[in-house]
Amino acid sequence: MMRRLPRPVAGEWIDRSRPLRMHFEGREIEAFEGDTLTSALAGAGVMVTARSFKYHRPRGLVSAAGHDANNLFQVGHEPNQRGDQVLARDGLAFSAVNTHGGVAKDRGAIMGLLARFLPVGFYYKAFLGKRAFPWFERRIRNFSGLGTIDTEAPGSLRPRRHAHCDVAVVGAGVSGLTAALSAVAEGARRVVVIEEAAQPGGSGLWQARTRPEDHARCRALIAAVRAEPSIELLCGHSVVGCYADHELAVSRIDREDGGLTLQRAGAVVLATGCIEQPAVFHNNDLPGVVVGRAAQRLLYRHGVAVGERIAVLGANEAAVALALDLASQGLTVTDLMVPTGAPLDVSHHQVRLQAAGIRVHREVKQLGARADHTRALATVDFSSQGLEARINCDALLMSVGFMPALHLALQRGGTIRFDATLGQHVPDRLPAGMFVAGSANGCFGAAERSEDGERAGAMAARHAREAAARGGLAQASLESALATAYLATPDAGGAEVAGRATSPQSLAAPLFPSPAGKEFVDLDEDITLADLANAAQEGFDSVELMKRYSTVGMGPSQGKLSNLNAARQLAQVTGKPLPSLGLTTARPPWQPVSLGALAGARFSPLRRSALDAWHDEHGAAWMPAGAWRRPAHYGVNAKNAPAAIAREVAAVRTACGLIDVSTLGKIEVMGRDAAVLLDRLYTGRFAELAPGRTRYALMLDEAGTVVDDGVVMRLADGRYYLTTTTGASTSVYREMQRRVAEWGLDCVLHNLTGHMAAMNLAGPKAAAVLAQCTDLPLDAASFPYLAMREADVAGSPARIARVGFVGELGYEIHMPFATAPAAWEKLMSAGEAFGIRAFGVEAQRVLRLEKGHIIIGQDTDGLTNPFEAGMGRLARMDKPFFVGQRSLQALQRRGDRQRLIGFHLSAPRAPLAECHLAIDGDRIIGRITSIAWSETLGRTIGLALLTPDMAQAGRRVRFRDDAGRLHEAELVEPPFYDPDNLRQRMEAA
Amino acid sequence: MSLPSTARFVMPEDARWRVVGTGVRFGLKGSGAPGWLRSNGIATPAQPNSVQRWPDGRCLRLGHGEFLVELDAATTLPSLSAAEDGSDTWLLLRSDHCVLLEGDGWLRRLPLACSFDLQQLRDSPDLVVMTLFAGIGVTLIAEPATTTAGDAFALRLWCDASHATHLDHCLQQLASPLGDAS
Repeated sequence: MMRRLPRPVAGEWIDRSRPLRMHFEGREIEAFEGDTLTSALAGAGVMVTARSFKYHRPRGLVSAAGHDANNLFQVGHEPNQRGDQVLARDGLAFSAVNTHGGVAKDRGAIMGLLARFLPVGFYYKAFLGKRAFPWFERRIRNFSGLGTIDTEAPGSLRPRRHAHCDVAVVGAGVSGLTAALSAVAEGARRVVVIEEAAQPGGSGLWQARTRPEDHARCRALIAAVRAEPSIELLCGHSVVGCYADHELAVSRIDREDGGLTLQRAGAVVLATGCIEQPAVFHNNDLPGVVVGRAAQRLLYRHGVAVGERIAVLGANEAAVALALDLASQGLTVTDLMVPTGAPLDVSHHQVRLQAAGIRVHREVKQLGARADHTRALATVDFSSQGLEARINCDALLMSVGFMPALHLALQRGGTIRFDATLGQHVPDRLPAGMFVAGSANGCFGAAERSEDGERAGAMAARHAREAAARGGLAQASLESALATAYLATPDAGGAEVAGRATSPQSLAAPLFPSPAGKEFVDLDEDITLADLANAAQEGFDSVELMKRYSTVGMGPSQGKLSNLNAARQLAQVTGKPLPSLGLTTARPPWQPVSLGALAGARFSPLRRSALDAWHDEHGAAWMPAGAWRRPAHYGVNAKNAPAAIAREVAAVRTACGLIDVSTLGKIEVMGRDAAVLLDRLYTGRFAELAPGRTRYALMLDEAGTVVDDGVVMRLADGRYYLTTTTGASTSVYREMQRRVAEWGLDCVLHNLTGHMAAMNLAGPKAAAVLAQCTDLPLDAASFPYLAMREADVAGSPARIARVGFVGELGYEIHMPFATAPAAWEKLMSAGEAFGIRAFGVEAQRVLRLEKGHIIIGQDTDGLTNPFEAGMGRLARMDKPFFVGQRSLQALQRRGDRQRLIGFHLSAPRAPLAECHLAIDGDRIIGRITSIAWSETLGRTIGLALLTPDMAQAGRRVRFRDDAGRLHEAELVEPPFYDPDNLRQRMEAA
Repeated sequence: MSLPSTARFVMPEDARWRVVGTGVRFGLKGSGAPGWLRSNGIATPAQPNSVQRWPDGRCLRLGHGEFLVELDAATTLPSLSAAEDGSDTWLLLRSDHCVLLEGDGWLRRLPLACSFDLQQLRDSPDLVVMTLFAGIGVTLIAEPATTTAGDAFALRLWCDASHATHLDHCLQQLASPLGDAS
């Protein structure tokens, strides 16, 4: 059983003077500050910490480094927290995920009895049948899934930080620390070292007694890095993704609510080390069966012994070092089992092993583990040199080989190759500015790792400096020069990496098939050797196909402990050499990262007009309008919003209303070719528009679809001012910029949307109100309908256009943002005597609907052309060119597919809304685009897009509401109100 | 997430900000703009994306022919029409919202909302940066220490006036303990 050692291990990361108490599924766990959840459980002797995903088998820690997904915990409302990384805190309560009734008595264990009915590819096979699918789907959904999402949990805001450095070093082992110092020595001013563990040092801090000189050197390295002001050390952070321009997504993993840092580097050094790979044998998933390095992590970091009687399955020099290291620290290591074919000549170590009391078993072939009543490892059965043997042990350490952690390089398009000499994959080609150091580069000795790190750090610093000098991005020539110099292979005519090991470090195939089965290749997904063999036999015989069919490597640990062994099994089944099979594609994230961390802080850049405060003070009920907020109506506390809207409508129809239209896009177009630009972008003619006049403008896209509208005002020769719809202001401005460049026009654009406020004064008394605030002559001769003027209004310079969107005498007044609030106040004061009322968007919608004026995007859709919207007359087809013109010519020949037409309901009121369908028998003939109750007209009116054959004035159609009831309506040609447009053209009184 | 209310919010000493007004602010566009500015006694930066400062004002060159000029004291400018005499020079209304950020604390807080490397502004004090901050477009320049309260780090930031409230909320959020917890 694992246990906390009573006496501290020199250099351990826990602080025994600061004890903590936590609760794991109701059981009190004593721990120390510096413990992880995993080490705390191990220290408390908890062997079974999890249940497997599929069969709910008892599981315990495997790597203590987050390379496996066994120790995933629910911490509060945060599911799937990695116990290997999350630090212990006093009072923390956590539990295993994926259990039914807790980890000790998981009712889900019944799934183990059904294993024979759950073959590889079960999902696909189950889902093939249409009848079976829903049945299986419900049960799988109910039964599976890791963790619990607490929908009642309060939203949390995790920091997402941007950071920059010259060189980022991933991994703070010996090679990473050396690389960081080397980069600084080479001139890098900002170096960041990112380390998953809570403290730096990596494996350099192990073997304190067996290799004290290396241990001391590592400590000195750490001290030097900590003392170097140019180096930032980020421990407890994991680089989960690597993106263009060396942007690293760095997730804080030592807390369950950790945030994300987007670290942009001039160059990157991957000193990510190797992932120790497990062996695959019968019951290799029992708690107590761990990779060798897990024992050293527990011991040196947390003062935890991995077991009372420890056996080692070892195939390389690291295994011997492991056994001797643990023994030197007083742990009882009883046996070293060396598999057949292991690249290890154990005779060189015989004397020391014997002195440590470790028995050596050579030529180990058969291997299997058994549990006792605690469900943890109790014995190991094996054959050695042809003889059957059994070891009583509570810990079996697997030290059979490595896989370099090069996933970040692979994410960026780097490649690896299988090095036959080394017996593992090594980097082949790396992305520009990315360098690999240490055991990930095949350098295993302490001195070699240090030298490799020094070289990589210096090259990274040079790359960053030269790339910055070239403008920030690495040049291709620089890329090839540096990458080739560093990574050139003999095949490419270069030299081999200095310091790379010259003998294999891994057992070629640590697979021990057993007639009893249950040799787990993938602990995440409970996938066995037999499953993979069956997948291959069913035709899924490439690594990518096998992955998708069997789901190997698709669990939370993303195949860190399974992909290589899965490929080895595939190689054995198919008889193909391992190097020819390759490995599956590496994609972000390298480690699990919570969606909350990815989301980060939420910025909702709401735009507010200059008059926002006035609206707020006067009870505006707000509604979103594109990026803005606008008053829907006034009287936010009014119990009867329709009545409030009706009052606002009535004020405009009978007296005067004032609405804030600052959200309209406002663009000034200047220069010799200003008219050319507008004539090409809009369907109308603007070159002939006289200064001081306005004209409605319709914009199409290349397909002839209506995309925007507005009003163009000609200020002077070569100077226009125009409005766009609220939602399209940015896109129209961008389109104009693009067109100016594309067409090479002599034209200057200025987006005034945020610089100008705008308000619309409308109603029969509008002129009378305006006259109180300006010296501008307002009589029909001086200021006719569709004219525009520049003058002072209420003390502010303004541009005034006589337009009539709401169908009354109206003035659209544009003025600087800063002066608008005072001007608005003055207009409201001046209008008091005339019954002025501020009106909101809802009233405006009713008013314009009564006039039959359409709203682009509401009364049109992504296919509506001007002919269908009843705006064909605005498309000047005789112009030489405008965007969408050629498409309109084709559309004219094709004919309409829909047509916009007005309607009024036969019944006074009906529960109809926009998008309700028009039905003719069993045929959908269109939909409502706008509908409102008109107090002015005393009926419900609307617009609808209908099929052309049905869109005939006088015809009766039926619209279907949400409840399926049909409501009859009569089609009419708009406008519904003032069809001769007399009111908006009326002479100013 | 609820933002800290203004009433309860205490501005930290190392991360202060204030809205700064100006006597005259205007934009200028067109190929004739540099000449027009020089003829009116306004020194222009030689390169785009750089700023020319003088004791009571500044001129930001936002492009080859685009400028933002601020004169801290109210000044009578040549009329608009004088700039529109056919010389391809266009005087433009600028209603930007402008704030001054002061204090070293911003160096660790601003990266929570902005991806730009602030070190570049320290290395190149005359740099003009147009970037995204908290989801909105902003223009940034480093502020010389002589014009601030002696802080080592100060920035002048312009954004669209319609984003003023959003900017204020975000700065509050960043200046709060949450913003410092990064």
